[in-house]
Amino acid sequence: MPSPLLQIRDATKIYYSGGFLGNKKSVVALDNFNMTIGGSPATITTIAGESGSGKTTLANLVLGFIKLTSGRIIFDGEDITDMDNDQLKAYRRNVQAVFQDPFGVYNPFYRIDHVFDLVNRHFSLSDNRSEYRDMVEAGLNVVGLYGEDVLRKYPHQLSGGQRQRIMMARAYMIKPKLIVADEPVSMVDASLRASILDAMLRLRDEHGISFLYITHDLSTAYQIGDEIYMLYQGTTAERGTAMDVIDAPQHPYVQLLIDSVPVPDPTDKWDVNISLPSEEEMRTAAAQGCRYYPRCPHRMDKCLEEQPPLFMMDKPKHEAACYLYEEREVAPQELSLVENRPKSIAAATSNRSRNRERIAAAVLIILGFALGVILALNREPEIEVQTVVETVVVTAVVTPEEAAATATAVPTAPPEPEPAAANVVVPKFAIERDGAADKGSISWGEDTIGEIETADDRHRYTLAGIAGETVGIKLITGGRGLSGTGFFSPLATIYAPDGSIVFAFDSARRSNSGELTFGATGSYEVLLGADDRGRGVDAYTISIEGDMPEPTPMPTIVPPDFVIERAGAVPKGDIVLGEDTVEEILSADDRHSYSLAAIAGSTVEIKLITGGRGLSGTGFFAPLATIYAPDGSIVFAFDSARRSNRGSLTFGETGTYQVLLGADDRGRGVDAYTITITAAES
Amino acid sequence: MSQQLNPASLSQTAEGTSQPADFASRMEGERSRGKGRKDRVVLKVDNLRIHYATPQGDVIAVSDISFKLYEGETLGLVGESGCGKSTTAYGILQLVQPPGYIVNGSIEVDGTEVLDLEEEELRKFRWTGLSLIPQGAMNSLNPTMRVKDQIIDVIEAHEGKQSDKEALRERIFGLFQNVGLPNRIYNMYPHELSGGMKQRVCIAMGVALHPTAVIADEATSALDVVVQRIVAQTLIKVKDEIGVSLIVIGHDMGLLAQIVDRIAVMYAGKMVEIAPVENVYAQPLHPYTQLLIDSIPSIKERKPLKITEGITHDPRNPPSGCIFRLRCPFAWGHCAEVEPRQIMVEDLHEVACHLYDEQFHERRANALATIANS
Repeated sequence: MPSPLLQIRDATKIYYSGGFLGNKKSVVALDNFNMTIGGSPATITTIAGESGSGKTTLANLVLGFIKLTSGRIIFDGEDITDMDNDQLKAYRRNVQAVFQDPFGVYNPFYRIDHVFDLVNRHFSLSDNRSEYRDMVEAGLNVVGLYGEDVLRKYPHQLSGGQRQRIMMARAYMIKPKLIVADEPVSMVDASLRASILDAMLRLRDEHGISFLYITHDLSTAYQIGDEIYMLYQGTTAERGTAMDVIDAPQHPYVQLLIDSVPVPDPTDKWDVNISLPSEEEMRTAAAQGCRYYPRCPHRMDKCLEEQPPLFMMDKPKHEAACYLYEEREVAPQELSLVENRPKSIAAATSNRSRNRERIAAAVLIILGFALGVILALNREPEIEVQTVVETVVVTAVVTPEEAAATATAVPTAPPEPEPAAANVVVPKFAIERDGAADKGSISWGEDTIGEIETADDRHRYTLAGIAGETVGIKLITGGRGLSGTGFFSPLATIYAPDGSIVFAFDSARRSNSGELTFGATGSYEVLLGADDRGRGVDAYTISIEGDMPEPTPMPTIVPPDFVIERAGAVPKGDIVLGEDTVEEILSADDRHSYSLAAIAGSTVEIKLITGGRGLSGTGFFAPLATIYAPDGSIVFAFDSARRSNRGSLTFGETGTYQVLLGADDRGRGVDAYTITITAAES
Repeated sequence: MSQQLNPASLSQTAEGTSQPADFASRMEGERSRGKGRKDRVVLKVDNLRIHYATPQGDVIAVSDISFKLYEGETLGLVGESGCGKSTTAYGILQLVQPPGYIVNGSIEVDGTEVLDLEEEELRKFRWTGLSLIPQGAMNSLNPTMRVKDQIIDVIEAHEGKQSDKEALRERIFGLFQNVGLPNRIYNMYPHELSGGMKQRVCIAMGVALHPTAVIADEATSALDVVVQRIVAQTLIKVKDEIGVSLIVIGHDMGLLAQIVDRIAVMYAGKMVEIAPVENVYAQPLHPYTQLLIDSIPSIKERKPLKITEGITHDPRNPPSGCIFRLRCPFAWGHCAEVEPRQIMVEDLHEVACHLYDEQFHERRANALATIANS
């Protein structure tokens, strides 16, 4: 087993107040708390609970801001309680924080790049200016931002979501092993939270950074969390994987908590007849015994005698501290602490020995991993007991009359210029396999795959669909993966060209058959694989029936390759097909946007002629011309990566591309420019 | 399952499945349960426009929005920060502080035009006609006054000195009962109460004078989930008991699904969609509403994260045409030129988007034909 990253043992934190002459009051914020975060792979461990449950105390303890009353916190083999300042500084390289308030952490008088300059100075990341700039850019890219969009801005010019992600980028630059994120999304609009959660997932999966995610929002914990600890007044009420705990809570408090999370479905309303305890009852705790006794609907006399230990539930690692489960086994005590011998200060700061440590850590991880593999192999016979065949059948039911009727009766989504016109011949749909593992062979309309064992072993197909066409989809299942999970896992998901999910076998669709009418013409992605919990499917078959045309490659299109439509804010000058000259753009707001209807595979040449300000001497190259794909991604930009004023772009998909022209980030205008877009010679 | 704008989802309505009829009868049921009748409008806002003056030009906080609030109804007002939700609420009560000012519009409460009221009439009108539970209300209680004195203050400010102290006391106990507070807090100070209790004191103050409508601005954010549930359920219970109409402002789509009858979605000062709550969640029409619904994290299933940025344009210089076009996945040239009309899709369901406008589709077909022919 790899050595754990963070171990907390019997941690107790008591706050004292008042009491000059003996009348001392104490509040137990954390009571004999135990926790272990594994070293590798990186995980997101959630600490959840209501206010006063001890979540933030725990965060402050791990960050070394406050000291334990008793107990120990071991990080990467070293006890953090008796670190001196130099050791703490080294510790902070490994443990970074992101706080709740995305407004309070910035100095409003400085631009965003100041945040990074400070980090560079404090942790001496790089002396080389361009290397440093690349580091900043890399950090921003990880969290889905671009330097030219944010670095020269002031904090108030950014959204809360962007500000929190910049804090993550800042933490990332230091390459910590752990980020303590204390309510990072609670002050950010609900619609912007996903971007922050996504940044956390990327840091975990692509950069091996673990998170201690402190929140009272269970839905975000459910979406991204690996393990969860539900705290109640300083003690662990329940813990397990986020999905096990939230899908099937066992502790009465956790049940109430999860039942109270508002479900975004007006047809599934709260039970109005449920009687909630009055709030004073909710606040009072039993002096000894179970903390939840005063509020608990199942309370027993035994609960008052002694605090319940964690009992083991059905799922591995799922434990709940409640005497309702008294007949079950008590969870085993935490493994003994894994601790290194204390390091000297010199060793902690010297580069060479740090490298040596890294090598040693890598060796440890490899050894640990090997051990884990051996253990897993030993356990294999258990897994193989259930061997059930899963079958997925995709049946195409193309009904042209219906499709045509739908198409005329109903307004269609606009981004796709339908190539159905004139001389374009498109197959009704073509399926193309792009599986990760080469298991079995694919034939037209049917594919059988031997085994999918891990969550990563997913199989991807491309389905070319025409707007209005309908396919019937049927899923035949048995055994692991789908049954007995409580929730239907999305074993088959179909994504539209814009990345949205248009079809999934999930909790909303308990039936094993369904119909999908393509909303837009383009390439749909069919993803088949193991379920969310990583449990494999033994085998499945995908087949397409009916009189399908032979799969033909996407057609070659006769020009026009594109049409340009101007949609500028200010009408200055005339627009010629393929060319536009604008006299002056004075402010950052005075942007000009164009729509470019393009067909996949065709290529255009782009040339930008500018005068004077805006491009030269800015330090950062402003994106004076940017082209966005229909899905919103940037496919072409005159930016720091492209210092030349000309280039060519091959369209990846058929649809409407947006061309945006404007002033630079500092609002400085361009005197005049001409953008020319012409079809490339083929 | 995520609802995307595609012909499949639209065709269900177009083909006239039983859905709209079902929905109408459901709405009828909802209303008879509350006291409301759909035909009686208690609050009518027309073309309300509010600007904030800044040295660089006016910021358009609320841009010509119109909506109605029916008797006994709970209307949710949603949108991201800065979209003008709270400003709308303050505008309706004429509480917009300089540099903010109302540019134009009409606000009718029970047939009275609020914008025509004199200062003295307006003062009387607030809390009797319309009351507001402001954002962070629980922290706005006066820490040096007992709970009873604060409530008495509200009553006496409007009804004059009360001579019958016993009756006043009973009246306050009645209010406590409405919001589920024990009588013993009568003599307590705010710091002795928990957050949820303070919030309920604020609700009691809001309904003390039996207003026609109450506006609750983020009344339950900043509370733990269990307490939030208690306060939200209290709010709805009080609404039904006293028979007021309610506007709930918030950005928690999960909570709103639980407590409101209709939802009005605002984006950058514009009203983009107003619809019965069932429609909004089952079949959001406006691309922005779709995005809002898609971005709700669920505790029932794991789904891919839907990543969005906030309002991106400069509020002093909003984009031409449709306000949402810079972020809209369906934006087309037309969207930049013409501002979308508010289109009535079905009874009580309005949306401001070209996608649901016939003219737009004609124009688009022509553009495509041009591509094909040239």
